[in-house]
Amino acid sequence: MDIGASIIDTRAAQVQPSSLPNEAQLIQAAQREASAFTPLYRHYVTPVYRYLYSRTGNAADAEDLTAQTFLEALQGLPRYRHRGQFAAWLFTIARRRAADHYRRQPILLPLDELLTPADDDEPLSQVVHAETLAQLHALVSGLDEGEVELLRLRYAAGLTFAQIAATLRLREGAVKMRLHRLLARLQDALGGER
Amino acid sequence: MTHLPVPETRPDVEVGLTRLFSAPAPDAAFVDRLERELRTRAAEQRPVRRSWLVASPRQQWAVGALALALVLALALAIVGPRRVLAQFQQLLGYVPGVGFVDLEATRVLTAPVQVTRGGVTLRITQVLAKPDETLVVFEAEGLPAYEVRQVNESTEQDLTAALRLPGGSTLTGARQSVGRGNDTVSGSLRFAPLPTGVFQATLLLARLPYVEHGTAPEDWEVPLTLRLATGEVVAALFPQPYVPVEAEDTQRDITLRVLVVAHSPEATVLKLQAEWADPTWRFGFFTAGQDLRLSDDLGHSYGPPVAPSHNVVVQHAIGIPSPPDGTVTPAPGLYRYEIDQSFASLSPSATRLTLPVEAITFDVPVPMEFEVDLGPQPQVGQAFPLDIPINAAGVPLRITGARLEREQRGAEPPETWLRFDIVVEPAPDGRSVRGLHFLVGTSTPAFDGGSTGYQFAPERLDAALRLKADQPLPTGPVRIYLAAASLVVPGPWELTWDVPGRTAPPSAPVTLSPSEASQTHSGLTLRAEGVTLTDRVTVVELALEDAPAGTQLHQVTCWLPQQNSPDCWLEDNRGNRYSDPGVSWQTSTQPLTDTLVYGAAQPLAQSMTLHVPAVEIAVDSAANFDVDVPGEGAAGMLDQPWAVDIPVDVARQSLRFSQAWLTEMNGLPQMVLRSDPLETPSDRWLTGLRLAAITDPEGELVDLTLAHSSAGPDFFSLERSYVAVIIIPVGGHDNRSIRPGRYHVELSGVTLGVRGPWTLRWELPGP
Repeated sequence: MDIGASIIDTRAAQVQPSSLPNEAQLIQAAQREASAFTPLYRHYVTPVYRYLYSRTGNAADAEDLTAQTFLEALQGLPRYRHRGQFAAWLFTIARRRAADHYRRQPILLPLDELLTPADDDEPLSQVVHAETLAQLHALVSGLDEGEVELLRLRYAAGLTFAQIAATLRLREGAVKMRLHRLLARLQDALGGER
Repeated sequence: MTHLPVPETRPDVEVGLTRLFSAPAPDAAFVDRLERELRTRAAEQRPVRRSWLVASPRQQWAVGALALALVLALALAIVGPRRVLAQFQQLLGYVPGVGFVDLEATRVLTAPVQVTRGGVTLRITQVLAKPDETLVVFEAEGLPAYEVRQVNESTEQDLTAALRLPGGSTLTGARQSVGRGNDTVSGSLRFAPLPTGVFQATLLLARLPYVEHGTAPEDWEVPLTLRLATGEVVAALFPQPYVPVEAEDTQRDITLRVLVVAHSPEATVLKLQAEWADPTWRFGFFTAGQDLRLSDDLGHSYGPPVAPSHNVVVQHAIGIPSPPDGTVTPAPGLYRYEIDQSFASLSPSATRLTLPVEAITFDVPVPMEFEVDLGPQPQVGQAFPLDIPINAAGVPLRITGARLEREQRGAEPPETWLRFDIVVEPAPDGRSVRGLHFLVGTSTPAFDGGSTGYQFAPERLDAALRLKADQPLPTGPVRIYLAAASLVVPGPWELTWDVPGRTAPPSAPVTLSPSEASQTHSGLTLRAEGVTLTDRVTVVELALEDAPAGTQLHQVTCWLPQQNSPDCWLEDNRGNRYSDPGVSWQTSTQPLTDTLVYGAAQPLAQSMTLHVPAVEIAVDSAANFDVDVPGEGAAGMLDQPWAVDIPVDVARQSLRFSQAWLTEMNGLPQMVLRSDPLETPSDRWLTGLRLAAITDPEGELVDLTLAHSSAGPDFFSLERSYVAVIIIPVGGHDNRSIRPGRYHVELSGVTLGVRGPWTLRWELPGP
């Protein structure tokens, strides 16, 4: 049984930081009455936390930075102009907060935590092997920060291409193109090493 | 725009990336805590002040503490916890605000050093010159307000810091971690290791962080003198940790133990470890989402520490070291999780401590797959009956159906979801499942996301998969892969230990019944029915005296409408004001609605005065009304209001519900009723309607725990009007599809806010 792969659940990809219903209205309400910020917070706290966890690699720092992000957002809300990209604005704050955090190496989960027993008899175990994970870990560790950030926003925060584009101030097509090339590169490299 | 999809990657690439970047959901207690903090900040409507959320030094220490914890953990794994800790204890110091730190071969600051210039005080609170780095912890206060000093956001990143050594050379390139309040900043600087034999250095700061050039004193120089952290120095400077005896409990083959404890004047910190045998389980969190609380033998219950910087949480999982060949052999008993958890500071009289842990949540693998046949022409709204049994570590679940749903969120393109109804059958041993996780990506190419299981009602779960955007609905059989479940394992575990060195007789709590502590205002007499004094808390229980028939005290509210901050306060005759101690009393884990808890009375205080600006009362009165949920096309009416005319007269309150709409909250269809604007709150104001029962069109009682009523600012519109709102679940017995027809709502009265203030004064007993 593939224990390790089976724990790969939808949590990383399931985050849905797409807009809330009536998000513009909620933002306007929160801009006039800060106490109305709660629905926005509840909707975005998990993806923001997961993104920051992927940056820091530990819950304590992720909590601190999450708190800082939302406090800054709450403070900055009166000055925010809604153009349909509230998530991008929030993640811009989160990224800046993460950048302020003392400069550590881009953090992936320690390899030891990722490598868990595998059993090739189960279909899920065919998806990813410890060996592949180790190779991928090494490959991603060698990417430049911009590429890692792209993967982080996609796979940790679960942002849509449009949201990543707005966060990184790129065109959506450019984000797709970069991710396309990056995944192809990783795929080739993995193939070459196997 | 050319549509360029993400390439068809090999399965292991995308799944591997998902794995590499996987992150847990935030701890529910943290989410709640932050929400409360945000609400407080929102209510204050003021710039952010210093808070643990903003300026917590723990982040500055996290890496060091984590590294130590890892070393300790690995050592523990090899030779066992007790023996290692006995050795570590000699080297371990609890550094307030940091956690447990190995101080071997470390030079430390023996007392804070501060410099004041131009009204700004820069204080170096600690320096740890360790073999691998030099850590400087600082804080500054008296700064101009944030708006004044902050001009450029990049300012915070341009901090220029150096350590000048006696020979004139400098250590530069500090990594920094900084936080700010309104008029404070704090943080840490990490430099390269201080050369051996160097005990003096000068901290040079070109300017403080978050301070724009020219707005506060600059070019700071702070001389620092260090001492080697010998056993005596450590003992004198830092609270000494101890290893509690037999603080361990095993339930259901899961062992919890307290490895080490330290008490400081500001906090109690303990290192808590969980150990389990099944290598396939991953630790989730303690309890089912509530804060852990520590209790003592006197009746105190300790929550998180009040001093923000002392809220230390360092946690990590301990994996299995990988053998050289890359394979891993499951080894029962090696799976551990540890956390440094801090609590409010201990009562000096406490001699025995107990940490109850009600439940632990693990992620457990559920590697299985099944098919949903969507047929040749699937339609949004279509339902697909299923009967898929699942076994999640012994807890039976059953997927009973799936539905295709479309969600439109704001201006975003609509999303299509395949939503599953899941029934959790109770396990005989009390274990349950609170979430189910799908595997998405290349295994299920039609989907690119999912929602983790949401438990909207007991024994019911909701989980969904999102179809990729811009793609047609898949047809025919669709294979779904499950990955894991969030398993809640109930305990309770109870970890109990004696506090060493507590030989003096405990200070017994004193209970007063001050007859003089009452006052009448707005027709209500509020009385301090009981006052309990301990060496840690002052507990005031309030009651209404001679209340009119059918009127009860609902809660003591320290807020007035449109007020920016809570305004209850306790003061003694010497002018000392008392604040929240972070400690509750006796058995209550939640603040009682009629009880206020403050810090311990000062020894020289002779009397105390409690100021209560407002209370909330419950008034009994019966009323009822009917409201119709439209039938045809109801599903298309989400968030589309329609006019209703429902007058309600209850407990002398007259209001009229004039608008209704259907909405979906957390997957539950609900109807919202909104009243016409109410009068602006003055001396008495409506705060809610008390729901007694709601009967649905089939005559079934609606679950009132899913219903809600309140009166307050209208969050559903941009108007600042004050309205009453009732939210009624309309999802029928399965809480799913809208059940149209007539709903009957019975009220048992109202809750009203009543403006005071009441000022209650009582004498304290002599020494």
